[in-house]
Amino acid sequence: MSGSDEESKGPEREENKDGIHKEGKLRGKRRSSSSEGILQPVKLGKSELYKVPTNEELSHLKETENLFHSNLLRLQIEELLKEVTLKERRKQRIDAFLHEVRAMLSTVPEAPAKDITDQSWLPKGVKVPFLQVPFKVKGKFHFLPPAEVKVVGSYLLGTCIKPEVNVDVAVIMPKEVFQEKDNLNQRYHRKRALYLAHIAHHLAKKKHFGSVKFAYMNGSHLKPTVLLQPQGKDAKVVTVRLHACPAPGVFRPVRLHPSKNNIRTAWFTEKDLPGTGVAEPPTPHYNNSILWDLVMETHLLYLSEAASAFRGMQDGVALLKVWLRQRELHQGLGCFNGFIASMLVGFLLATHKISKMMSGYQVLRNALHFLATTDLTTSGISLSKDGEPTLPSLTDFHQAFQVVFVDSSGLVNLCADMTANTYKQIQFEARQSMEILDDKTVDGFQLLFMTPKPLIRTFDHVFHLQHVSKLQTACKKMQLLNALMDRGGNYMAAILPFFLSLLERGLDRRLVLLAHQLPQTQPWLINVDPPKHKDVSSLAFGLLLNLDFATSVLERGPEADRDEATEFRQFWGERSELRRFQDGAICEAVLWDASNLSQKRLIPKQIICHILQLHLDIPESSISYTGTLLEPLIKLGHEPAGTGEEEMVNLTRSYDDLSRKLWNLEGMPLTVTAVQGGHPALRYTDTFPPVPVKPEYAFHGKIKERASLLPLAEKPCPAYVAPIKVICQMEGSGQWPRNKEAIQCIKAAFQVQLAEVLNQQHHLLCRPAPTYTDIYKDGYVFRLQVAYHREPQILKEVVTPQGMLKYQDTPESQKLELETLHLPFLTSSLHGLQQQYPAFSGTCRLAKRWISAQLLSDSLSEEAVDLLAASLFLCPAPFTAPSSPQVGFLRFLHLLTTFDWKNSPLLVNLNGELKEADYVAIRNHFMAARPHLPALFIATPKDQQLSMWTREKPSPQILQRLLVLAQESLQVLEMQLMDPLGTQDVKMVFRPPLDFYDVLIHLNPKQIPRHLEAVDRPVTSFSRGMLKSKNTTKILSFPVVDYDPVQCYLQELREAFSDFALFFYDKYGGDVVGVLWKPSAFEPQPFKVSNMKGRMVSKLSSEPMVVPNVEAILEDFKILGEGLVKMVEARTEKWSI
Amino acid sequence: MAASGVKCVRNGEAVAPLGYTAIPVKFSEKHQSPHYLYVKEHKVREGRDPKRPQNRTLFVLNIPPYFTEECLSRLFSNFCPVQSVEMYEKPKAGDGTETPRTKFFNIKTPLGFQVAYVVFKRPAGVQAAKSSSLQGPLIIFSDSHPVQTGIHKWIARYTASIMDPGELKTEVDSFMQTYDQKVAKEEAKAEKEEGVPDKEGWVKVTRKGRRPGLPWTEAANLRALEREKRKRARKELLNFYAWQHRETKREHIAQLRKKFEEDKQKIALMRAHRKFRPY
Repeated sequence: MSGSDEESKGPEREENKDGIHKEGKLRGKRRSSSSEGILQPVKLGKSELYKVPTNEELSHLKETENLFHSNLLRLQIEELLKEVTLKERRKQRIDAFLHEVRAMLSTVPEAPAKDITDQSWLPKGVKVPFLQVPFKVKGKFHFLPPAEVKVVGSYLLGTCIKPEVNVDVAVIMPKEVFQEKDNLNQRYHRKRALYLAHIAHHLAKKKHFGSVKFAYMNGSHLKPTVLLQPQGKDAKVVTVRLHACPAPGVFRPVRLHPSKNNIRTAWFTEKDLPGTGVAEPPTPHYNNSILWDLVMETHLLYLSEAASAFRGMQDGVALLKVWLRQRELHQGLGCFNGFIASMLVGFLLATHKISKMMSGYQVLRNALHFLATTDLTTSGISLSKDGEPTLPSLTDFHQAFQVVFVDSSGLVNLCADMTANTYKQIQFEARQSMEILDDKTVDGFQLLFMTPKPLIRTFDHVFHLQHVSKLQTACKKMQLLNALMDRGGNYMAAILPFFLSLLERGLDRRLVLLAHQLPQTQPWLINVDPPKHKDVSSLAFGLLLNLDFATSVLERGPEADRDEATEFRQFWGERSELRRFQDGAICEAVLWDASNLSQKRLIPKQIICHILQLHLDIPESSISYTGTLLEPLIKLGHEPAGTGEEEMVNLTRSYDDLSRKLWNLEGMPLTVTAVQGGHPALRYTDTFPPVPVKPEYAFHGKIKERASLLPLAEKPCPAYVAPIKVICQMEGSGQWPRNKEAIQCIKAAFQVQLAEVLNQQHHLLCRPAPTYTDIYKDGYVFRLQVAYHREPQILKEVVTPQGMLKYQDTPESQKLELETLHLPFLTSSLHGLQQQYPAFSGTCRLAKRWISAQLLSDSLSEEAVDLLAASLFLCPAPFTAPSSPQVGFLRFLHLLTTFDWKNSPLLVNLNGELKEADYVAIRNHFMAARPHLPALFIATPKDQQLSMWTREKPSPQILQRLLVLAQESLQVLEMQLMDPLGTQDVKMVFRPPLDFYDVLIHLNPKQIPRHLEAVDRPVTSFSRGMLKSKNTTKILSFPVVDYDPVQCYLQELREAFSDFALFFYDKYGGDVVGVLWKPSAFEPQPFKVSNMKGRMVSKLSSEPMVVPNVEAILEDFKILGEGLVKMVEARTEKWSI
Repeated sequence: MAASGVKCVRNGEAVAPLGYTAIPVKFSEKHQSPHYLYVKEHKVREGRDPKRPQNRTLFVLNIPPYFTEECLSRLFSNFCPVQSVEMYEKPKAGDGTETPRTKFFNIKTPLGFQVAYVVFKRPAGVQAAKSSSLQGPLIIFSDSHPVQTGIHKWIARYTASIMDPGELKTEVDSFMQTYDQKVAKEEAKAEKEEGVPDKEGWVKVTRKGRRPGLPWTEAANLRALEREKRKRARKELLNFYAWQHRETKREHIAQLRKKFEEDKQKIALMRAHRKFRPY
């Protein structure tokens, strides 16, 4: 491992691996410039690498090679398990606590026997944790001390994981507590609640616990539990959940089969119904909830048998739990919790899908594979042995429940409360995760276990139901009395399946997945009433949209004379109308009104509102829909304004026409071989795309002979007209000179000639300049730039003293290559990406808007942001490619904050040109050369080693700032979007914090041409000298192009004062420039001729040291921006110069 | 350092380093804080420039960005008539090989702080300037001599950027004419040398002529090397001898080991960053 080793093996190494030797050299350099948090390449001596392997090592290496894609995953999983499993010390504390609880429980005194409804014996300090509706119920309750207290569940199995450490304790209620027919009409549940209330009160009285609370078990309000936490600083160590269970033999399981009824309609409705002969409806969920308590212990036995001598099960279940937790599926009503996961592993073991030899990772893989391929909504599974005729069959279960997973007793459905949609979501997630695990190019560990997938960031559109109580009336309308009885009056649980299927039918193929938040209630103190059904403040639904259909405006139904037509009409109500289609058919159809893409994105909202109103009487006002809330930020113009996609299509059309004209030009000495776009609008990523303009003559000055308009100083600055850069490649020919000045001249000559020819042949208004030609066409200004494909090569030529011709990158050649080669390529690639993913444009532009709003647009190249946004679509794992700009933007912020920019390159696989080997090569190169690479490294197929778009900016400091801002913004924005009331101001994250800057230069809006693009749009602005687009006047003069006083000002500031300060500005209509002093510039320096810019000799020291002349510089800010600057606000209190 | 001039001005004291004199300048009367121009007599040992005579030239440092040559010349003519003013971004040796300025190409207007060489008509000017700071700050802007900044300046710049295509064409044509002549001359010369041995009898192979030689480029060099390598690799037998087999296996295990070490290190780093907390 020593340095001499490395050197001594030099010659031998060279013959088999040249590459590695080189790498070694690079490494040597790096070690000297080591900095914290950056990976150092490992160094292994030859003896270390080539020693004889032991058997164990060999098998270890082989296993990782074959099973895991790399050691990394294996090690990562090991580390993760280490992190989440309980430490021995903590276990000891938990054990001690459990002993205490057990001791306390045995001291709970008996209470007198009373009617269930007579609760006067309960002391004041405790409320019954049960919603007793209807209150009247027969039967007597008599509290007797628990027959037994047992620990059940994950703690004993060792699958209990952090951060929420729960230990389940079953308190067995003695047989004597119960009477005949306690299975009827919630009598069992009421007794159970009373039992727990008494215990809770007794325990709370002792003042021995940190907290004693009630909570619903898995969100089911029929089943309260008592939560106990230790006192003091141990409170976080564990939460003990007390479940009350009946002693064995209290109930006869036959009475509780899914097809049996145990709640009488007459009792539930509190009305005496005449029709006694009518069969009572089955109450499967109710029955299931009683059965669950009966079999708790059997489950534990079953699982502990499975887990014995099976280390992989513990690990596998722990991994599954982490996986579920990151997907927010682990708690709430109808969740897929750790217990079900354990049972699933048990099932896989029983069916020999896994063996006890397997590791945790293999268990996880198999479980995910099983979930991905098995649909429990149609083909349920059972842990019980077949052939027991007294047990209900799977078909019975399927009739009663949406998702079927029967336990070992053959009676209980473990997934009783789960909706089909939740299971579909689990399946979807499992399928995705399998894909991730099989993909060698991504870091599966990170994506599966470490990336949280909250609803708002996972789904394209999210909507909240604000007033859940509205569902009660909906239940009535849908005539769901039976379901209500079954669910004990929980109307949300009762209606949810119907609600979801209604939406699914309405949205149909627009939808990939419809998921909902699992309803949850928080634990409550024992002296308050339990939360009511309506206390679940809101319910959130997530929509994953299908790109191809989500924005279609038409819903084509069946032909009018078919039977289905009536049904269709019924479903859609008045919106359904007869339409004649182009193929001659006359069909029922629904047409949604949407004139542009921005409105089309909201069609799902229209559908949801319409259907909920029509079928469930839920008004639009109680739905808060967040899918397009951020879009006003990229809208421009008058209502109904689109988000710019249409404008860019128009522009592209005009551009295509121009390129056709250029190809077919006659009278040029060389033909045009290619016309390529370079402007962001041509790849759909310009925040505010150019719109056609028609200048007003009276508003401008003029140069008559050049047919050009000029800005006037006394008028407001004319509207900003962005030139659309177009590269025009000329044919290669021997006639081109081989000297760079000469090429420049020839190009200029071409510019002039192009202008002339275009004017003659197509009557376009043209204005040539030495390096470009402006063309005024359809209201757009195209800036045509002639390029010669060999020019970068010629700029690179260097002749060595020996006379060898070498090609070396020079700044000049790199710039030219970037402009004429890479930019057009990027533009066409991203143009293609947009065709594939329509949400790309919006995502990217929101990202740019945000960066600019944070005043950082000049610190990051536009192309870099384009690539960052593209990566969200090309490598969306663990999510799916965004279908709405909102979710895309959230993921953009998430990418910024979570990606490890220091240690990994971001790979953007444009056009899928990167192969697996390239990924490895890029990563290796990156690791080896990290210190010389830019802070933000983005590799693309055409640019694997340089990251050309981030080479100059951002600097590490700016990147750091960007990341901090992104994190803050993401947090705030997600909270706002998840607020069910939907009244938050989402523009908040687009308003920059200004207290950070040392000097603020306030600008005069009159001279800001893009003032209307500001985040908070001014109500009134200045006339910018443009005619309405409908005006048909023929314009014969060039408008003012590319004239933005603020940019001129910034350029001057940066040229003059870049030594002292950084300047920040929101280029989309910001009215303030933030100035940040560079601390290093303010240290006194010795006098140097080259270092006297804006400085003065300090009077303070005896040596002539120079310091910045701050007062004069502040005045210069004002002088340089004469007419533009309103005020310079120096925040001297912040400085420490 | 005692010699460094400490002069009194209205707003306090201006200090200048050895050999320099500080002249305060203000944009207009309204402004409070002056910038200081640091001036000294222009002296160089080598590369004397006839355009910058030693005793009449003043070297000026730290000229604020809104100065123009015209305005510098106006201010300094208060001391003595000015012959010429040159402004640069950084001090520049005046060796006379200045590139001919074109009106259209490679024009870059400096926007930051600059330096200047002011040549007076008489040597007295230099002395006068050096003792000038006694009189208080110089004022750049006055109603009789407006200086364009801000909006006015940018509009003027925009106006200037719209140029006459005819003029451009003429310039291009004249440049190309001289260029073509130059190329033609070179070619004629090369043709004359073609196939003619030099004094020692060597004949130069050029790309012209009956048997053109390959140009000697780096790419061609690499290509040749690559071809050699491939040739050698083709000849070699792989997995033929037992030792070769052993070697590859050994190599494979070494690779895995190396990867393992690297991964372990990565994990250690991640652990340090607490990257394994899924909550």
